[in-house]
Amino acid sequence: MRRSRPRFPPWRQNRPPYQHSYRPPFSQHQFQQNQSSDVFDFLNLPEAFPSIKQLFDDPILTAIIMERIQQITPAAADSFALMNFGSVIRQKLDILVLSPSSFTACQVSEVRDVGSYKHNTIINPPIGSQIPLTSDLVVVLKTLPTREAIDQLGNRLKQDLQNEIELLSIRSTDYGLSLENGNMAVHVLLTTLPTNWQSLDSSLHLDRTICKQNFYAIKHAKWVDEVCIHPSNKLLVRLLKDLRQRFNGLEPLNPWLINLLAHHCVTNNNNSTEQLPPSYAFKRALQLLSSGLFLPGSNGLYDPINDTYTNLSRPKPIMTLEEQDRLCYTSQTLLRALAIHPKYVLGTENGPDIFAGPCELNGVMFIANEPIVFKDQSNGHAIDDTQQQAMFAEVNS
Amino acid sequence: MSNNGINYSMYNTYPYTQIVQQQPLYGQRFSNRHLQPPISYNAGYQMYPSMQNQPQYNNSYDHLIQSAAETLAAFTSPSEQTILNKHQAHIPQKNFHRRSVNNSSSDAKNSTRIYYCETCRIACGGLSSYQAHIKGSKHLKKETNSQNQPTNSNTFRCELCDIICTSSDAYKSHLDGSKHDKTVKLHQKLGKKIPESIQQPSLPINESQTVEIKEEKQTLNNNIKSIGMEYIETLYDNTNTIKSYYCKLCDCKFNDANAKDTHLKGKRHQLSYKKKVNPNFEVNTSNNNNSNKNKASSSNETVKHVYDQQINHNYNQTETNEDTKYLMMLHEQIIPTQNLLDAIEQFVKTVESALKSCSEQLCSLTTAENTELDTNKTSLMGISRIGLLVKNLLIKSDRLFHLVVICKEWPTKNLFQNLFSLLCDIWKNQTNIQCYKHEDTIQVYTNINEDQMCISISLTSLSIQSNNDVNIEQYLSKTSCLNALNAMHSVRWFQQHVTTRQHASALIRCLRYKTKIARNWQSLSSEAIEILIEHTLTKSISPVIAFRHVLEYLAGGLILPNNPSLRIPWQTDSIKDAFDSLNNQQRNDITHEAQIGLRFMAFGHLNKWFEQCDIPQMMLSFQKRSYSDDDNESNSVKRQCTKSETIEEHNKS
Repeated sequence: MRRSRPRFPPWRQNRPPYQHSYRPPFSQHQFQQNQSSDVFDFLNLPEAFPSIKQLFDDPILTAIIMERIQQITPAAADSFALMNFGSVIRQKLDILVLSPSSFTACQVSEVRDVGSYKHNTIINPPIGSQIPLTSDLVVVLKTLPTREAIDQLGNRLKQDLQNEIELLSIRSTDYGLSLENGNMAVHVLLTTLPTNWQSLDSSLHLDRTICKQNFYAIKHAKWVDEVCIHPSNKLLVRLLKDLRQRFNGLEPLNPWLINLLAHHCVTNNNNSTEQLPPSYAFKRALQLLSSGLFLPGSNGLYDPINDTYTNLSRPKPIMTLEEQDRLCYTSQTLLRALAIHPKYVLGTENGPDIFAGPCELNGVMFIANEPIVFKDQSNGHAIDDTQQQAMFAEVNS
Repeated sequence: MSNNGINYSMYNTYPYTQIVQQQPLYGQRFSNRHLQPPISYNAGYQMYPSMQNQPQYNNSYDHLIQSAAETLAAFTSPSEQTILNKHQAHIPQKNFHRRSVNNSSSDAKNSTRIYYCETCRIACGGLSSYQAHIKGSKHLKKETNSQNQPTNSNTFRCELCDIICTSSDAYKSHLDGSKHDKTVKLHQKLGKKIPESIQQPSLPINESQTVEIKEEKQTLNNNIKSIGMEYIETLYDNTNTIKSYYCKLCDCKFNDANAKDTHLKGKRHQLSYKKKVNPNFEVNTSNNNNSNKNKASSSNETVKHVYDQQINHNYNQTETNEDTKYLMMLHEQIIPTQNLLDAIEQFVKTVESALKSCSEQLCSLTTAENTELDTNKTSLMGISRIGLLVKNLLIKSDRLFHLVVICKEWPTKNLFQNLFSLLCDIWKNQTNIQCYKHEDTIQVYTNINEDQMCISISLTSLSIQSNNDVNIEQYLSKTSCLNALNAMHSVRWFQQHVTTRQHASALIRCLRYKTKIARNWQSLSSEAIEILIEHTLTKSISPVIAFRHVLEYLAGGLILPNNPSLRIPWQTDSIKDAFDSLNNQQRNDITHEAQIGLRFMAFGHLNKWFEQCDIPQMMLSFQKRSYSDDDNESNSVKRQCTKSETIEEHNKS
């Protein structure tokens, strides 16, 4: 018998042909199976939008942004105090690294600064709130992070710091330890070496996902340190953090995503190396979010740490459907409001709460976008049935 | 209609590649008849009498005049023109070539050529890979092998696949197998002869009879015309390759074109076609009367057209969970029926002929006066259809159409008044046509089947752009003239750029439908949608993605104040904004609506967006039964005929 071409490659010779893969019922993954593409960006079509170059510098918006940045940047004294507080804790932790025999509950592998303080993108907490200025440390343990070990580490730190810092309070949280000193705080994010991840048990130890998260925080910090150096980038991160602080709907945008988004908006300038000014980059960030950057069907942003696009990341998607919708409709509303009343969106001027209901902004009737996906029912939608009223019946009557 | 398949009884009726390419995503039931003939430069038509002493125009607007002249010519001899157009519209390209060259045969018709090595039975994707294969050692070995192959009388050999089976069972299972099936298909595709021994295998065993029948069936099936091809939907993935096919009638999916072809010819498909589309369709239960069958299917072709409307109703019940499916369904519903189009065409032609006679009267008026005044001043140069009518973008609810009369000079109010009174004279005795003046346009209303239609006639002149004077009392306002000119440019751009794109008009119609039903989108002009669709279709591949991109454009603040707005592509000299006329409130509203739409689409509820309808009055026009009912068809046509005759008589008198 002579065959022209084997039907299967040699390692599949005796197997049945490929079956159609099992399709799970409606789920998060359904959207990801669909074709997804990059979201639309004005910068990629310069020939269609010739006026875009003129829009790069928006003097009005730039002035407002600068004003806002002044307001949200912590005072020099505050940030100096925070630095002192952080470095003292760091010193004590370094001692544990250098002389592991002095502390038996756990062994510390390394200590690293992460987060907004390290990247100089820290902003003032909202006025009137009790949230202190915070800097973050990641402590990688060689041993397993049991609850007891964490408590003992807290006690040890308390002992060491007793004489140097007054008013110190230490509590253990679900991510590690939180040390507070009046209006400052240092979050100690605990994690363990990746080799130990398999043996983590959430009843005894820190949660595995939190351990991973804290570990990735180190990588993220490295990347941000290396890549996001442009002042425009740092400015944008601050603006977005400030926006997130004031509008609850932007909550799903975690600090890492803010960094990614800011970097994308400032640097990815249609194959040119020119960095965009903050006024345009800020607008662009909102435009991208409004165009559904994190909606199903879009690739999202490229995540250099996971080496994949954020929306395609497996196994756990970064946001639930409800969060995707919330993020999108909030930024859509903000984008429209920005065009009408930029001072309100940036927070330099008070205005009516645009999310409360229909209102008038600078002479324009403004209605905020409504959610279409709700938390309890991921398939849900906001339209009631009376409104739908079967247009088809009418069309075809 | 002639059927090529009868001549090539051995092969598929339709060449494979043609089916793949001709699959329209959205049923395109517009005939070319309603399109203005494309712009050509060699028009030798007689212009208006007043035009005869005109010098040659030296600007770029010649084509506009000429296209206008062509429309005029088209209705002076309507029978020929329509027949010609019909002829072009209804005969698909069927003259494909089959070419077999020595060792390789290629389907020359298409860009996707297939190179086939007969010795090794391998189809190569391209010329280079074919040549590489020919030079390869495998091929050479097989070539030498095939020359001294022993022929064994005890074995069964499938000539097609070049496989030798030792027993009849093995042979039978081979014939049933998918590999053999594929080879047969490939050969049919390439237009090769299927060896006789396969069709009539001279097998001594009784069981082989079934095999024989099966084979025969298959070849017979090839003669059966594939019916209901318009219900096959082609799904693309994002690299423009065809991912799969979906048969809407039978609700099943195929991964390759062959499976789809077989399905189209299959009994199940035919039965569901009979059930859902055409009850008169004859499902052939016997395989014997081949010729009969062909007749049935070709006669069915004509019947099918009539029933085309009815299947739309059937689709309402089918579950649509995908955006493409939904858009397609929506498009089926909003596309105007043939009857409606005919009625519109009739009405427009009536108005056009009336305008023509007006022009003649105006001309004779001036010559009769024979004053020293510039005789050209009052002359009308031509009529052009503008807007949706000529762009072929009408949806069911459209009742307002636009014509523009091109004048030699900047039209005066005097001329406008004359034209108006002449038109009123013409329709004095017609009860169902009324003429009104509305600012600088003449509005002609008519009632056809209790349905009001309106044609808005505006006047413009090509000389107006070079004229820098601001509004003078005696002339019509400059802005309205410029708007009309702009619309003409838009038509020209549309014909050059958008009509060539496959799904453009379907998508535009869907978006236009939304502008009709949503208050927020009412201010979004059709031109803007056309430009957006053109942009997105150049960038993205599949129509759904293009649709989504339009929403992304708008949702991302394209038209918000202080944002990049759209350049009008047909205005090269000045950078003008396509959304100039909108105020902040409208910009905000349009963006808002698009943002909602984008999220609905992203979460798979596109239908809900289209079902949100806050203008209930708009739907009234859909409720008219007159155009969707087949019963009324002859009636309305008759009425139109009588009407047009009376108009013509009136014009003559």
